[in-house]
Amino acid sequence: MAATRRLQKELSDLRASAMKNFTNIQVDEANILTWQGLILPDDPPYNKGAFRIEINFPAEYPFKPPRINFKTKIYHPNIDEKGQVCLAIISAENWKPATKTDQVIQALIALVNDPEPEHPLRADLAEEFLKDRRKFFKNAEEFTKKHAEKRRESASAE
Amino acid sequence: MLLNFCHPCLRPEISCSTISTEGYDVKNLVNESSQGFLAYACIKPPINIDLTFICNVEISRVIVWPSVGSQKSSGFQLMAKSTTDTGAPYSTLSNAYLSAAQGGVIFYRRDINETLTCVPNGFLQRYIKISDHHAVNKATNLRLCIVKTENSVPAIGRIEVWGRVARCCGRDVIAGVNSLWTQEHSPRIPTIDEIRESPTKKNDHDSLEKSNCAVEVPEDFLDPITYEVMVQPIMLPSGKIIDQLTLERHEQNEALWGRSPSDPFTGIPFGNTCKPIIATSLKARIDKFLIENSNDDNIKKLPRTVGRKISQVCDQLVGVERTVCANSKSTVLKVKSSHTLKRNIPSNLTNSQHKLPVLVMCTKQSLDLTESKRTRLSKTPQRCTVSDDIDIEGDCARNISNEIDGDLELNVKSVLSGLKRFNGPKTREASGVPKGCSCCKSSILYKLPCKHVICRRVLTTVKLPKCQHCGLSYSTRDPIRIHD
Repeated sequence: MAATRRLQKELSDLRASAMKNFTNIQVDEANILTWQGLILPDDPPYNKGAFRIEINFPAEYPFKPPRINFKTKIYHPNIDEKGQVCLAIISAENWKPATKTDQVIQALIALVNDPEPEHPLRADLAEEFLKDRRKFFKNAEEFTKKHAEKRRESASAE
Repeated sequence: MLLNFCHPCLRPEISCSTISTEGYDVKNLVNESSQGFLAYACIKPPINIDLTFICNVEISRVIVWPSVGSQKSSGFQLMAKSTTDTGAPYSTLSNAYLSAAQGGVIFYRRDINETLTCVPNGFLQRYIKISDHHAVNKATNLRLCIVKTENSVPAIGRIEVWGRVARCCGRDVIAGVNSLWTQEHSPRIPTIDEIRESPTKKNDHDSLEKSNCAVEVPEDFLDPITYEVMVQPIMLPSGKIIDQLTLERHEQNEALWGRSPSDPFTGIPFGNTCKPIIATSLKARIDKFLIENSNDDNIKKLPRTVGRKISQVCDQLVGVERTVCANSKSTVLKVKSSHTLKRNIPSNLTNSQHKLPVLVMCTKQSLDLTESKRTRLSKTPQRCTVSDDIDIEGDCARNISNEIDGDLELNVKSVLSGLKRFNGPKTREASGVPKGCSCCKSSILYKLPCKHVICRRVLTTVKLPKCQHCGLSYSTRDPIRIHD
């Protein structure tokens, strides 16, 4: 499979670099095409929790883009109830084979930190985000507390 | 405590039903020698190797390393008996047939609840049948019968028989044997783990050797997109070097979106002035590396350009050469030219091993090659007879490198400049490019699309963008700087 070598390289690089915002990278030995990990956004209202994501690489990777799914529910205009996320960098149209997974994850974290209400997957949240930012933040924070996974370092700090 | 009853300290006796190769006597298996046992070259299985132990042994496991060098036995039968009486029959304990990948066999008892976690990698595991209690629990003789080999001489690298002194022996015998063992193995008494370690040692050594052999492929030989070793490195306008295959796949994907070929790193479409070129020096380095490490198994698997497609092209070229020469009746010339060709390539390169890949690499440069030949031929008196063949040549060259373009040609020439005697100073004339500008001796020269050369002064002063030689007009971005 063409993707294997590239994915092995990316995985080892990613693990070696130990990204602050993307931890607990888990890859099934038998299937290197599916990765899981926790993203830790920096900005409120998502900075209280950890969100589990799954990255699915097609067999044609890196010529076809990976797909990202949120396993943890998140209150976000650009991420729908099923966990699907609309990220420009990994859309089939914009995808460049030279794009590395860490760039994709950086882009994802940037999107989580700064929602893009201009092209939402959940129009209701986008509207709330635009019209009543305070209410959106309150809802998102509550949602995060309820659904998101605990952050390990924050748990140890408490 | 388990003891290895094949260890010299426990004074086992060993015999074999046949003669052995000199220096590979069966006694090697029970003394400190690491040579192993090899039967005499013409001996065929079955062969019995009989061990007689110092006392009755409760066999726990038997480990067999079946290889000596490249000789390997692949089928074994393990038998034992509980009396030293020569007439008594052996009872079969187990059989094992190894596949090519398996490095050995371990026979062990199912009923003894000892973890087999440390079984050497790639070892076949077989149970010891305990239908005959006496043979297993108080064995005095053990017979290993080699029943099959892999097109080789029957061989045993090493054998270990682990077990305890049988309970039927008196206490003094047990104590005596144990003390023999501990004397040899003191001050440390081997634990199960250590016992397991000793068989794995050889394997570790093997894997160590393998890892030493495993050649590290330099990072810059890897395609930055797929991380595979590049077959035909191509330099992109962005300066990155990727494999041609990667670029082709990228272009296919881009074509799906209706986009023209572009740089996969920047997304900037290729144009006249910004397009990928063959990274020839890297290609040469990769080929050198592949050849120098061609003994390594991992390197062997790597793809290379010496494929059928290219060899076909080469055949075609050779064929053309032949037609040309036959028709022009200048066989002497042909012999001479091919002779210089053969002689010059290796002499121009530091390493004669380069010969093949460089030739193959030059398939796109075949245009130049044939062109230079054309010059040579056209200089001969048989000029008119050759003229027909030039067409054949031209057609062929066109077929091979249809997509060849100005930049590629330039690049190819820069490569061939390293092979000066190969195509000589005639090449430039051959491709119809005059050596200098007609007006001055300025060193800053530009090439126009019509292949004529003008100097910088003319280029900057001329008002109408038109070639002075043939009158072909060009646009301002067309002139290409020539670097000598």
